[in-house]
Amino acid sequence: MSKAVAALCFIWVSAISVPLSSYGSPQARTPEEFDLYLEFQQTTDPAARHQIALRFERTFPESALLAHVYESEFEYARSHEQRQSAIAAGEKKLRLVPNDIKALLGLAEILSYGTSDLPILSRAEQYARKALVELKEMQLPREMTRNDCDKIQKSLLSRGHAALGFAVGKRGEIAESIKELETAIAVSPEPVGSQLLFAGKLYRTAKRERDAIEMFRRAAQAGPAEITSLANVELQRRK
Amino acid sequence: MTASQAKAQFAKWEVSGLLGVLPPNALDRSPIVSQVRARLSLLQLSQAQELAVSLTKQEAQNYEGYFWTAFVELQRGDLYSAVRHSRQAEKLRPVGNAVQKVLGLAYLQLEQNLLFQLKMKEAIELDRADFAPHYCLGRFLQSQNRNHAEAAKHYLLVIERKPDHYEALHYLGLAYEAAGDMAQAKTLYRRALTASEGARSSFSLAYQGLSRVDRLNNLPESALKFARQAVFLEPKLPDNQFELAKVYAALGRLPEAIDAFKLSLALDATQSSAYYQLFSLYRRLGDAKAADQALADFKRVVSCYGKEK
Repeated sequence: MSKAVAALCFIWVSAISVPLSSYGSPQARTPEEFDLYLEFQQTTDPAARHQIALRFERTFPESALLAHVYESEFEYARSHEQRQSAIAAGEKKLRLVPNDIKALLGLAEILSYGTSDLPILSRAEQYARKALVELKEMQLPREMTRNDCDKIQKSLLSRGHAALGFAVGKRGEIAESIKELETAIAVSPEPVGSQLLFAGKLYRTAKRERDAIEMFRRAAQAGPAEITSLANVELQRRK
Repeated sequence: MTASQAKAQFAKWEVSGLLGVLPPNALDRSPIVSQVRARLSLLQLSQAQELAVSLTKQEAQNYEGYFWTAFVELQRGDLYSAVRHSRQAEKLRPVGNAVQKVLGLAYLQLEQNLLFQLKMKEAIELDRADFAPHYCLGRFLQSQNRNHAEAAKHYLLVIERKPDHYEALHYLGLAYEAAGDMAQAKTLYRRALTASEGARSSFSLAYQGLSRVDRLNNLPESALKFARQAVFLEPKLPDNQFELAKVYAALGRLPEAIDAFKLSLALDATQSSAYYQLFSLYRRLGDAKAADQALADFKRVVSCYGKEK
């Protein structure tokens, strides 16, 4: 997989953020535990929040609230390009909440990034497949409108198929990868540049140049700027 | 119950004094508290909060500033701050059990059910004559845990302390209804009605309960007048429209039933059961297209939110 694709994978991972809590409400056992959790929640500076997260984990290692803390730590590490720390935080969260869709998708996406190691890609694939299974059972709060609910479900479904497509694509299973990316693109409520760009690369690898060009055009239009620029480079390489 | 409904309910309880969260005026220490109360009664929350915050500054060792700040924050939905200020008030050895109750309710809204129960139990220990923590625990056990039997024990303690607590009478009736004791449920709904009329309240749930009991006892004609009265008192409660629709359906008045289900859905579009009922009614009327649409809506709602409990 080229450096460009590795780079776009990071953009793709970072760009998509859907607010979702797919688990019930973890319960604090004591007011003191919740006090420190509140301090963590109300701290907006990422570095300070990270420090409180570490303190919370040390002070209340058995806390169910660690699920939220690990989620925040995952995002913190990912935004600082600390891949291993992000994976560790995501997998800690999964130990607490094994069916958490957000963690499963995040891990599936980040595990495939920057590696061609087959066991790691296989792990990414497993997480993506489990996320797709869990999505069928997902329920959203009744405060959410039906349109928002549809949008979130489709967006997550799209992410799941895209993550699966990326993992199998990196293993060289191009036909399977194309199938997953096509599904991801079809169900996505709005165009996702990184998915379109990756699909274009897959088509090109599969020698489907016309489809590839179409995807690169759509990717360039969908953006963001980094994707547009990568897509334009691909368009100039037109065969 | 949605967050906004819960908030509206909470405000209503406060107005009627049923929730009993606020401490009696006789316990007030600072003269500023009466000004906070006056602002709150005019629903001037910002001014009430400013006064409460000024009290924390002027009398740093008086729990009242933190308590009233937390109370206003709870009303405004600023739950994290409400917890923080209640916890500060707790450390200043407050009088009575109001701090524990407000803190417990903030925990409940933050879905911290264990801490909510902990604080309500503390509130009971601090004032064994207080009905309010029993009422809150009863509602929690009944609505969230579906534990009607345990909830009923708390409602009985509420009624022992405050015999005209019409909401507790109604929800105790609901607990009997859930246990299949329709006669006792009906008695309690009637007592709730009498008490709410005495308080000149527009409380409709007891009428809704009476309608349901009669309908389930195959007395839809009798149920109709109760269902209509419930809708008259609180037309914006989706459950009231839903019950009226069920009564119309039981009477075979299908177009009216359809209209009432639609009204119920206009108030709360997440009710999968209302869509399913519409599907059945349209099928009975032979309207295949509308039935298909209702079934599709039913499936879509179930896939989003799951089936109703």
